[in-house]
Amino acid sequence: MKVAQELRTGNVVVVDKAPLVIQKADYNKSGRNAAVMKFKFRNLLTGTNSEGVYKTDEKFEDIVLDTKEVSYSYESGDMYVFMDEEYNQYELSKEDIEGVLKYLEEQMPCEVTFYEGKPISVTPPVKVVREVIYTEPAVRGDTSGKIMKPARLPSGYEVQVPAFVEIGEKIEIDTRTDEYVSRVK
Amino acid sequence: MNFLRSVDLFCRVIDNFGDVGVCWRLARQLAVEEDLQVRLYLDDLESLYKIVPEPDKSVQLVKWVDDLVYAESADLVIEAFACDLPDQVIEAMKERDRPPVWIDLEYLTAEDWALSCHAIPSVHPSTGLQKTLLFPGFVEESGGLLRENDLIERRDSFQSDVFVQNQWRRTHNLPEFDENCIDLSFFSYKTAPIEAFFDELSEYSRAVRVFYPVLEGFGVEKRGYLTIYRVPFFSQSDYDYLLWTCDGNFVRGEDSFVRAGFAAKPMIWNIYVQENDAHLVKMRAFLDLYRAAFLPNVWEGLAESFYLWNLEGEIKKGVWKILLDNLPVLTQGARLWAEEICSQDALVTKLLEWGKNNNILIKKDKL
Repeated sequence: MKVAQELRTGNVVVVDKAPLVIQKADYNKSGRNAAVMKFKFRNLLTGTNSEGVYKTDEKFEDIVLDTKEVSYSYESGDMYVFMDEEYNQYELSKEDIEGVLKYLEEQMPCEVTFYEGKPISVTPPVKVVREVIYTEPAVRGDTSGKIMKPARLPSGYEVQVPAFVEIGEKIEIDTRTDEYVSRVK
Repeated sequence: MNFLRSVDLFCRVIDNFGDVGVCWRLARQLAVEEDLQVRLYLDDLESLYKIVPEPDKSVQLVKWVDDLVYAESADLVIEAFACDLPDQVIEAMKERDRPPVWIDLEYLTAEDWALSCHAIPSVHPSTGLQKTLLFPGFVEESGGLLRENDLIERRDSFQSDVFVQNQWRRTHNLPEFDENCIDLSFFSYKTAPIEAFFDELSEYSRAVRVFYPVLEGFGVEKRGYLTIYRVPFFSQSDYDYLLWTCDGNFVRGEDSFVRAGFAAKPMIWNIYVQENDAHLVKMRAFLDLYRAAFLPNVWEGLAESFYLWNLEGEIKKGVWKILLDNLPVLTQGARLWAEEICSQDALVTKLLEWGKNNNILIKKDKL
């Protein structure tokens, strides 16, 4: 069993007797230090997609499937190609890797998950370093550095960063929660 | 589809009065305005009695104890603020021929992510029941705000009649309306820079009267131009009158914050502090919405007041003077904000519409 907060893109869980692969996992802080997870699932038996929103401490039955270390190679039409050390290529659709697209860049190490021999999803590294390509100057009234502001990554995805982070700086991000970790020199 | 006749609402009081305040308000609206049978399960009834000394009988109050006996589930089960339903309740829900509609009423936030998570029926992983998280909010796509049907009519009637306001003030040992004084209601967490705030008000160019509900230590304190009236806690309904009669309101948490918005008076919000300063992200999201109601020349001063009030340890002189100087213009913005949030359906209306539109819950009289 895993709690919702531990689940990541690429994990497979059983809900209502159906195996569901998590295509996207979004973590958000709710009130009073609670948090919620929003998942986008694909049913491995029927191929249908669904969504679910859960408290982070909700327990799920997870299935351990075969995985392989790969790195992202290139985009080919609607497919994304990943390669292992033996140069075997694995193609996944945009939908399969939706939760990873915001961090995807060439040679990024990932883990491909297989179901009945077929690649079904990709899990990104726990931490990635990305450049901030745009963020607004600090807000007036905040002299403490505690206020967060949005910062855009090369993929277009926005992550909340402290007010002192500037354009061009590199930041480390926790891909499990999509949260800023630190500035990288 | 379930016919909606009964509602069970579960609430654990973690701290303060926000949880119980919201849950009582919701329970009462469902019972009185929607004519439903409502049971409110509370683990701490004493907290309710502090803000609702004499709860009317429209809602059945049940003390939520560990060995709670729960024979039959209602048509709609609301778990407030992810309070975790006890096993016997889950079992009773599973035993129904048609499982009840199970709602988790979440915390209020203006953040965009809440809109994307709002009202998505989700299969609960360990029970197989369907559970839906509802997120209250300030915009049309959100779960809305709790608002009684007659709230605005009552507010307008009270605010337009100084005689009635004075009568209410006398009943609560507050001074009568005086056009030479600025009256502020005051309700905040201890993390706010309260002493620095009072110091600055004491040096303001006009008399300022702060009405400060407390649980003990009542009395009147004078500091220069400032007079602080420490008065007993108000009931939930009287607290609205306090917000309506003041020139500005300092509020905290969730329930008083929402009510201050409806009061159409300028407000400063003290948000509940969270780990890793998550509360500041939430405050910024709210300010991004709130600013549309205010003129640019007064907005910066108001936003700065919000930050100062919520950044622990921050002291900056002059911010409160600007706030008081701007009160008349800020009042116009506060009225626009109240109109904006009143232009949308209230939370209960949205909840019932959602049930109907998803074909899972319909009131018998709406067939």
